[in-house]
Amino acid sequence: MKQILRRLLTLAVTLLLISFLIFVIFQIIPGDGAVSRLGTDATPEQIAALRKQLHLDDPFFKRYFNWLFGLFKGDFGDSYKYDMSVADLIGNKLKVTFFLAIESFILIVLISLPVGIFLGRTAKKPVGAALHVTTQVFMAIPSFFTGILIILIFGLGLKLFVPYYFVRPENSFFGFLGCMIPGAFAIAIPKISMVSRFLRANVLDESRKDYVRTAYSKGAGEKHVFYRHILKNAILPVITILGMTIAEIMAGSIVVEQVFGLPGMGQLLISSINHRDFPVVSVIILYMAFVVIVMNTIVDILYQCIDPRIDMED
Amino acid sequence: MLLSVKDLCVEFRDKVAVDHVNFQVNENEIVGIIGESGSGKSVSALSVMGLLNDDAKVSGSALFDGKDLSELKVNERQMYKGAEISMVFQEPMTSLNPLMKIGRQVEEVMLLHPEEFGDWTEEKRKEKVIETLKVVGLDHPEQIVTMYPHELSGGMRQRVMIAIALIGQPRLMIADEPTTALDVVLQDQILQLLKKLNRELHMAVLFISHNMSIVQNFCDRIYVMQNGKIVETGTPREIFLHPKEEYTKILIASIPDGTPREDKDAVLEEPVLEIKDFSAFYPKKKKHFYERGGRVCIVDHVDLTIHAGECVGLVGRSGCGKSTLSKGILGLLKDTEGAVIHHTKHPQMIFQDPYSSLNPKKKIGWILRQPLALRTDLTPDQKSRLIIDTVTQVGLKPEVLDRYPRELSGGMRQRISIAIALVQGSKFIIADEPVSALDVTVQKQILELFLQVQRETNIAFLFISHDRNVVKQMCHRIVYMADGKLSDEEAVVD
Repeated sequence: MKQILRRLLTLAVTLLLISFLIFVIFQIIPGDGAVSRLGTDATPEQIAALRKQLHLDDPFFKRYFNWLFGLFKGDFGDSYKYDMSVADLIGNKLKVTFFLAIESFILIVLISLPVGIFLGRTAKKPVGAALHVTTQVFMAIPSFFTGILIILIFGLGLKLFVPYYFVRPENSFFGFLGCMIPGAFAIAIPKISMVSRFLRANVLDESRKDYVRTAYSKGAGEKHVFYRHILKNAILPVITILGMTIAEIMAGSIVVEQVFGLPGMGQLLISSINHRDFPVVSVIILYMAFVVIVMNTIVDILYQCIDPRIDMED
Repeated sequence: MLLSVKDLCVEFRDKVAVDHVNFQVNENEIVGIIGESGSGKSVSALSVMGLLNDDAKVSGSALFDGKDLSELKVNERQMYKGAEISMVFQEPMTSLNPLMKIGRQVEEVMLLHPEEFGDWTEEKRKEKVIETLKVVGLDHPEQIVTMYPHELSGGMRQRVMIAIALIGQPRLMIADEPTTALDVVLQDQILQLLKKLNRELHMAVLFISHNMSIVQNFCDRIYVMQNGKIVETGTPREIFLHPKEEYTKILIASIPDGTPREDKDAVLEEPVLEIKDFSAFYPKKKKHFYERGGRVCIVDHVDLTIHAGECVGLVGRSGCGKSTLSKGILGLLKDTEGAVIHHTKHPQMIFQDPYSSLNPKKKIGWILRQPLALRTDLTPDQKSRLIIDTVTQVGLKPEVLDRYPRELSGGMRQRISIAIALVQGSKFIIADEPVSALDVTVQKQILELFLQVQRETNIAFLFISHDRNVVKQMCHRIVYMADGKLSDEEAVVD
């Protein structure tokens, strides 16, 4: 319990630091939200008026704290570029990105563990060696290219899904989840290869350890030794790696959304950065940081529950 | 006859590890196989147990109770493992599954042998586990079953391993160097336990060891192995009093007998090291992250003076603070009190296994040249000559300068670490268990080298060891350490 409280405190401090960092970076990079909105034809008076309206002339810390307190109150502010509140602007797009990431993570877990186990158990056989090489190929292909291949082969070729078909979540939630599956695969495939290769290496490593010999000396068969002794030890480090892939999934989803024409945050993030639309960018980045840190916290706690050597009270 | 091994040969790729070996174990007997590392004793045991890797080519037969184990199918052989023949391994720290509770690891043997324990209820199995843990001398077995291996000490883990090997009620237990990784007091306790189990449960023991003095008192019959062959066999009396083979004679002569050195009462010269009221601390584990860190006293107000040419032995159980004291002497600790005064330059440390302290990517010549890098008064030629002289002095040929550490044997590596100390002209050396990882015959040679080097160069030694006989033979005087305190008298061990 104390452990979890401390984690939450760390989470809050990290998010605070990130918010400050985003704010500072936006001060440093050249360009101005007001100029970008009004275009190059605007008169200096127009720009000055808009800057005043957006509070861009206030002192640095005043602006930071105004913004921060707004966040606390649930007021994410208004977009500089569009005359909309950030909440309205992001709302549905956030859902797309979030569920795309969740789907790819589930795919990674469900597929990479069995594949890794199979690779580990067949390491000395030709099947295992061949599959091992295949995973290396998939790991090397970037996910946007995998996405194009998926659209070509499974969408246009085999007609298993309709490319660029999108269902709004308010119309049918399951239809919404379903239409994102091909995209989720595109994100997941390189990660599946990586994680299963890692699991295979761990399995081979653990098989050489002394406790495995002890298990055989008790009269255990190969299957028993593998599933009761080796596997749990081999999976432990994989949990950490899974936690680390979450950040990569978030990054990958921005690109893959473009490939599959999914109305997620990717497009919005890129255009908002170009237009120096600070309120939008900051919320998207804070949201991503939040997801990554929360997931990693969950992974850490999970790790401690499985490994008795890590003392929960420490 | 319980076990009869005939014409056993084991080959790894192109290397013959075991070469036409024959040995027998009778019911209720304790049989010892003794030999140096690489003699094939462990490989023989593993092949009887059926635990060798797939790349080992095994031929010959192993009759257990009249049945040839080598002709059994894999699943038939599994019925024997754990239930008829069991095994205890050398390394208790890594031989248990770190993620499984002790109780479960012991109980697993019963679950794997339904032919014997199939009709047992869970309560009956749990009771049996607790009873077995009691038999191997573990206190509070009810708590231990719920613990994980990392919560137990090395001695306790070895007892758990013995419980695992015992619970299937085997008729033969193979013990492969079961005490080598433990300190002396624990060694005795484990040996007594094995002897008791042998007498009370009528279980035969095949005991594999490199330690001559243990085998002498423990076994009914002994086989001596060398280079994959059995060279001599007999009762301990026959072997130790009337050895026939030259190799056996060498082995016996190598046992440190603890005769004090002749120049024991040499005149004391000026001191090289003075330790005054020295204490060392480690930070205490914090309970809360806002708590101010406390500290634990590891070395407690120690006084010690070592004189030039003197060899002082330091004896103590593992965890008593020996290593911390030696680190403190070399100035490697942050939190200390009191004074350590060196009257010489370049104090040097020699470790138990020098392999891990010699850079594996560098040749011996480079390693020996390194300490001379700051010596501007020597020309490169003089440095090379000095290195060659030193290597010759420790009994090696100059060719080793072109070798990597991994190409040298344990004994040769230990000679190199002595050479490192000599090459920089150290007058004071701390040797931390410098021979305990070595085979007896090599051990003897290295001890002789230490004595010879000390006479020639008048170097002072602080010689740390758990083997009293070695220390007696090497040192002018001995100090004993317990709970961080030094004394001239040995504390009575209960």
